Amino acid sequence: MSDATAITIVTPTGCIGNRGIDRATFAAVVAEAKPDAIAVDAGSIDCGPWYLGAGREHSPLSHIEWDIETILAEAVPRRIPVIIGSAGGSGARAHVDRTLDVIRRIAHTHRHQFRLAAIYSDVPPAFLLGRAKGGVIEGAERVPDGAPLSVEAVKTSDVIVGLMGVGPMIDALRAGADVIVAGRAVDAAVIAAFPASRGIDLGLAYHMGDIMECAETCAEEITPTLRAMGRNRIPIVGRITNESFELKPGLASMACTPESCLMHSAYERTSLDRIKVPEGTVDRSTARYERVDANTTRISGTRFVAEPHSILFEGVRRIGFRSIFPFAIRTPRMIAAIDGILADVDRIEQAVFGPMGRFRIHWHHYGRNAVLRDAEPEGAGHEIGLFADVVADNQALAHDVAYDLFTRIGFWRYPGRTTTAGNVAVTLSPAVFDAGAVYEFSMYHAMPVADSRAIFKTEMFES
Amino acid sequence: MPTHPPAPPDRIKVLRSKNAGPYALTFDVVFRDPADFRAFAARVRPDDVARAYGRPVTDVISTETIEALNAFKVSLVRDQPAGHPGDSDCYGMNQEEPLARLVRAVLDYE
Repeated sequence: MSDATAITIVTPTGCIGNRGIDRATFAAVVAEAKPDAIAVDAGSIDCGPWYLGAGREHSPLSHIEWDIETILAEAVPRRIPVIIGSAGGSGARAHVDRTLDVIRRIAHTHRHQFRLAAIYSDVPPAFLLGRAKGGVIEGAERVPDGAPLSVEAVKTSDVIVGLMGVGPMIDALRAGADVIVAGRAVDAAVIAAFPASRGIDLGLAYHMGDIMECAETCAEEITPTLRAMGRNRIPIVGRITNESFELKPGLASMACTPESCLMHSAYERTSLDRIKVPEGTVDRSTARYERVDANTTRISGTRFVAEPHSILFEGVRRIGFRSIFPFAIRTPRMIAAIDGILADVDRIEQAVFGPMGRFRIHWHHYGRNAVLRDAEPEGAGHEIGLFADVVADNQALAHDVAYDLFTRIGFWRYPGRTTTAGNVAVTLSPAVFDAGAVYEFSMYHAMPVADSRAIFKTEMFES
Repeated sequence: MPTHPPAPPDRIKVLRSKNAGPYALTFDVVFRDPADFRAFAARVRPDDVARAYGRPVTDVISTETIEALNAFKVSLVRDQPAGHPGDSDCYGMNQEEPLARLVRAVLDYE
């Protein structure tokens, strides 16, 4: 690998706030690798629609503060650019702003000074509605089934974000940003942005980012190390030229091997060979994976197919409010009769509370089929844990239905019942928990967007 | 630190499920023995996977073999989007058991 053109990126953790960066390892890696940039993802859509809707992080705040403090302590004194993508987890304005608050607090405490860029990825509904035709948004296709995006879905969405590629982050780097807090972004683009800004091939840069984005998840343990550590996220060092890139974990007890890198390439995607990104498609079918030394793998041969720029949109809408009632049943006769009992209870709750508003009860039967549902090949065990998930038009209604369920099931007179003092084990006091707003996905659609600047808006600040 | 006895030999190295976006699930099976991988990849059909999950074959998005890993990948449309009320496994991390049974049945071992 020719050092003259090599660019080194360090990814300190797979997700800001997730279990915490091992501070000593990260400091040693930055001192030794002298990275050109530190790039890290903070988000995911995996945690479901609630976080995007509610504007909250899916990681503990104390870990988020720990990770950001750790990164800034090494980066700012050395003037190493920092890029954080999908800030705050879901990357909407509320998430970006909460991350900016954390950064400003830490910068103030440690007297760090730097140029801070925020890239917002919120999509105004009007942007999509401007392409409405015949009740649907023209050109928008849901992933993976290609379902159309209805005008109704856009109008009823509470929050919509677009996933940025490398462009907005390259623009912020060129504008002189030292620390970039990007809203929703393609995980791999966060890591690919700096190499791409220096003219590195987009296919190789994205391929490197795609493997590094979960940090040490792409590495094997040569000797078991991580389980015994508290804050146990370990950095990956990526060195890239226009011909290849090399990946190495921050600990000598770990290794990036061809197998571990390939396994991570298969993670969370339907195809290992082809990754769709905003700028085109990364074709990995011709990639070569070679072990360089005990800890390092070199990857080359990736191809990039440029395509019209497209953006994936994520949207959520609020559909109601939730109360839950967790409980358990140990009585064999009741376990055997449970389906009929719950169907009867459901019907009666609708009769009693239906006039007050709409609601639905979702039952989860642990110890029976809670995880696999209809695909469960095994029968029920000796006890089952249940929870009733009541989703109603308003919180008061959800709460009342859940409490009514509690006493109704608790004293239900099913045939053959002997437990006349009460039927179920109630796990907690209070028995019912009000869980607030419930969201569902309203969009997960990709659409051609010629100019990403129409969506992604950058603001610059002094820390 | 306590020491654990080595795991018993098993013919499957990795068997996992995970969301691939909120509307899809993807499964990876990595075989220890290349012969098992080739036999499974040659014999299994998308309808076998669909049947194992009680789903129509049209719910199978794709299958892929990864020769360098002795791995078979199959992806399904989720029966409900991740994290919607009624969904049982928001991250899709624990859906692999029916596929494990299919692997054992196709390769005829317990």
